[in-house]
Amino acid sequence: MGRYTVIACKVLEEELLSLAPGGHEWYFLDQGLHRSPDRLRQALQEAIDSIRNSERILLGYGFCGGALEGLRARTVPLTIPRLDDCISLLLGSVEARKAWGPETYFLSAGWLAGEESLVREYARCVSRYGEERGSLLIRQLFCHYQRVVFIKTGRQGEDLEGEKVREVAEKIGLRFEVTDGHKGYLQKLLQGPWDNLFLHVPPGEVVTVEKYYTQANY
Amino acid sequence: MSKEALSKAMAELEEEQVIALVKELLGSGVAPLEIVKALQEGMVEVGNRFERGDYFLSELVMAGEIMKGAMDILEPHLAGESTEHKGTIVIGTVRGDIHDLGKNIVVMLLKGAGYKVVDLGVDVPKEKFVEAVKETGAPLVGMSVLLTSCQGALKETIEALRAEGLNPKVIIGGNYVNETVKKHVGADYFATTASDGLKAAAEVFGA
Ligand code: B12
Repeated sequence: MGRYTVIACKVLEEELLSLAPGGHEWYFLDQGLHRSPDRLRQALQEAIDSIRNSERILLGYGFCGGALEGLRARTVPLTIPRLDDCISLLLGSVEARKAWGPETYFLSAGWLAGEESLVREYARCVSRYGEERGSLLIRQLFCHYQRVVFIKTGRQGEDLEGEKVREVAEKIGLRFEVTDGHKGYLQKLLQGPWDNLFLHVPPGEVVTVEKYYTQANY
Repeated sequence: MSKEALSKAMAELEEEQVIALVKELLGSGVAPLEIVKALQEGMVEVGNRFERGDYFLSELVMAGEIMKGAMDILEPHLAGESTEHKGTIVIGTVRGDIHDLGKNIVVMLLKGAGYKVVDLGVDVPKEKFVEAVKETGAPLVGMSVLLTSCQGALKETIEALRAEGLNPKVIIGGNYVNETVKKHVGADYFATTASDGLKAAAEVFGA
């Protein structure tokens, strides 16, 4: 039984494992759960409930659109990064993310590995609705965006994945840019120190939006 | 032809059928509001299918497009377009957030219910909300938010309205808002569905 148990989104799987100091136990949940914060919450609670013999559960998630609201720690305390979603985790900080502005859609090789991504959705849409209508629908979906930013994290084969994103971005009229991720936040999640960038939930207590954002960024 | 058929066609994303049914129902004297309700039921089902994984992102957009097509036909028949509308509502997605599929649906349904809606779009700065409320005197302002990082923007926007001495009721809407968020940002109502929004509007306008 590991000292620490990590429950994380598959989007972060390779990045986390590459940092793994050993002795951690891992649970990775489907990225697709993100389409419904309610389903994600359920899956997370089930995973948490199944873990008894561990010193601490580390969650590889952001608040994810309210998905964490109401999660309860059972016998093992929870440690959770205090941020909105995995993009800040991949970029290394909330500030690094903010610097890009709202018209930015982020992707990483981990996002593309999931069952849903811009690349797959574009292909699916074109095959279902035809080249013209399909492309139009995706353009509509991203109509307020200016750029797609591909975050490089050192995953195997990520340059190839980046190229696929570039192709789709061009087709729907978005600028394509590449940026380097930063593993500092993920590293800290795995090994500490768990400073005020993290929320601690003692056994029996519940995650609430209030506790989550009590610090500077709220 | 029934309203159920319309809800079903909407849920199935049968574009031509939806348009044909809307025309038919209008022609046979069904109230536009009833037709909008049927469309709304279809939309709720689209949302459920998306959450279950049966539909994908493009289907959400497609549903919005079909709804828009239906509303184009209905609009001339709606009170919101005439002088006897129920009242004016200003709405927008707050600064920093550019999600708008949900907001657009809410806009259409409010119009469908007979309100005049001023849609400010996405990533709306607080100044624009202030200006729009001054111009229209709207008694209700709707703010859409899906990103948790934008709670600050919600709060600032509401504070900016109050600082100008403007006191419209404010309803915040989105997937994660709740009583806590509502209190924190100083809003009057919160809505996680379009129908919550319609209910609050009915209360504000006494309609
Ligand atoms: C579709 C979607 C997108 C689309 C948006 C297309 C568009 N034009 O809007 C795309 C793919 C472009 C997108 C982009 C991003 N998204 Co997004 N997205 C979603 C998703 C899957 C569904 C949202 C949706 O449209 N649902 C369907 C509509 C009908 O429902 P709704 O929006 O909830 O609206 C209803 C109610 O909330 C309510 N309502 C909404 N507004 C209002 C307003 C008023 C006044 C009232 C009364 C009611 C009301 O009524 C509506 C109708 O019933 C959600 C997950 C989820 N299930 O919520 C994530 C989600 C919101 N996105 C998320 C993220 C992370 C992003 C990105 C940052 C991702 C990225 N890789 O860069 C960017 C955002 C960039 C930005 N600055 O905005 C996170 C948010 C996390 C966070 N930070 O808080 C979510 C929660 C997914 C997750 N679990 O991680 N996204």
